[in-house]
Amino acid sequence: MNKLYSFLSSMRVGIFLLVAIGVTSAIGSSLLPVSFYRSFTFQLLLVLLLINMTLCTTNQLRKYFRRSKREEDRIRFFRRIGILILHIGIVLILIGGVINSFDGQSESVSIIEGETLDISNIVPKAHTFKLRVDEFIIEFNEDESPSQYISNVSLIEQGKVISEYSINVNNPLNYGGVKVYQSSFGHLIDLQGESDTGWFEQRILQEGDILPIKNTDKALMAYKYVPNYDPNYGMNSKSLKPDNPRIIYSIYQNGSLLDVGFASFGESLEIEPNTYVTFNGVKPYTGLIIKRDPGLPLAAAGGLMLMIGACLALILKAKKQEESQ
Amino acid sequence: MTPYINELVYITLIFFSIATVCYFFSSRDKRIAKTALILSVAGLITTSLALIARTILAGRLPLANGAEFALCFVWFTVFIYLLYEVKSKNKGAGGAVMLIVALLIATIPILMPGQLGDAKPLAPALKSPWLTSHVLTAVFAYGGFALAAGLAAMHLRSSASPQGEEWVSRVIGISFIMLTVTIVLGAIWAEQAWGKYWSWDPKEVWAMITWIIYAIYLHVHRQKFWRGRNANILAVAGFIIVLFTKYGVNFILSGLHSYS
Repeated sequence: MNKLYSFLSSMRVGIFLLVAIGVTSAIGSSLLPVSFYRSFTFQLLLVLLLINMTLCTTNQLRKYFRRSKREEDRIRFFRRIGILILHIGIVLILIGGVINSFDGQSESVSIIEGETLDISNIVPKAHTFKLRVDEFIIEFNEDESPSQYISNVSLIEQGKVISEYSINVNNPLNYGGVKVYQSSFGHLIDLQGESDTGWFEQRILQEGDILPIKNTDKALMAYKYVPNYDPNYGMNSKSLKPDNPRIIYSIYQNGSLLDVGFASFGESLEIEPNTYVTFNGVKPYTGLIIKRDPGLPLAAAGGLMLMIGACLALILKAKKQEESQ
Repeated sequence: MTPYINELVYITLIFFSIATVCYFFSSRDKRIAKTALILSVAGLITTSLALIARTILAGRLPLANGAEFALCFVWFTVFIYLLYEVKSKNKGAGGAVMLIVALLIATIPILMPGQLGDAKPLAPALKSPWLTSHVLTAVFAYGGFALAAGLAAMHLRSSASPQGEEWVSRVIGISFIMLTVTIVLGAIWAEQAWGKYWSWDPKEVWAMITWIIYAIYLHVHRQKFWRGRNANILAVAGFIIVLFTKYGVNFILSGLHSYS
């Protein structure tokens, strides 16, 4: 038992673990998918490092308290404190990560303008509130590149709007232990089909979805929304600005491709005699990440200690060297 | 000045390339040594001009794309090398350091052409107050590691004095603090922008590997076995990992951190 303890708490084993983590994550970053970092082997290495550093640091702390009765020179004293703070910081970061992996949640959701989201359905352990997406906006620079993605939302508690908030990239909503981030966006395609035989169907499709044309062997795929169509860019949009919107569609007969085209809003396509499909427009949706990380305060404290500890330890090391010269 | 930004980069490349050769022959003749120093200072001035031109053209600090970072990296490396040369009166590391910065400058037209000339606005993810501090500390750390690698390479060619060794470990110590701060600031920023302070993105992974290598250096440096040759090899190896974190991750691997 004693042997195992001194083995696990030694600096040599710590350095071996650091090397192992470095080598495996190098291989992981280039050859393996990101899920590798959630694999048992890799997590085991991190947990072993956590155990090793906890033991190693407590040992140092004990030694330090035993020795501190004797007078030491001040630079060495503060340098030791710095080294301790640095190592405790790393231990806290690792513990924060463990807590998050057991108890934290992070989910991506897509919401159309006007829809309301019940947060407790997504992150059940969080404070219950609802989020209504009032508007999704893309702001543009002069060169038509996007300058900001914004979701204007209302916070709803017990049926009442308690506040409004503008979520954008680099500016998440932080409420009741939940963070909501702007992460992506997209458009749903609103179209309708009709024929003189009395068929009428209005649908809201995702890009790539198919509308079967009733009473025929044909089908229409709403392939893609192009906000700013320019023949020079082919199927790609010239920019995200909706200056010249088109829907790229394709028509299939018995599963084989018949035709591909670009339709503007309101334009009626005659699929068969007296059978039409019309694109009414698009509905923007916003992609949000809803996150709860109970380990975050610990990891943040650890990060701060890591920085402060590194400064104390290494600046005073340089001082010590200067004095000894 | 802004239309000549690429010419400034080429002139800088010429200065640093000739400086490299001069430094390698500087022990033969005092005049060659003096020319090497003058060329390095001239290169620092043209790098500064290129950075100023870029600031005017982009209308913001040049800390966002890969070429801007390379210029800042070179500027800081040369700046602290010159401080070192003046303070230590030792020119031995000049050849290695100038070779490093000449190669770094050469990557701008080869790997990142056009990046200094275009005035595209920042992507939404980069619009953050954390950008400046995160990138400046990275420049500081990378520059320091470059100088440490140059000094270590010099010690590998000719036997080093204990004082020379202390320079390497001191520079690595300060750069390590800066790398630590870079990573923590980056994590705070990632928590704001991407919703996760650590997502095992290749840039993060390789920054961590760099951090681990130098952490090992600082742990083993006190032991006799790691003094001298082995410690210097570790300092050079660490810098190769730094270069992979800067270039390899962007041009070989792909990930979230695609701007620089």
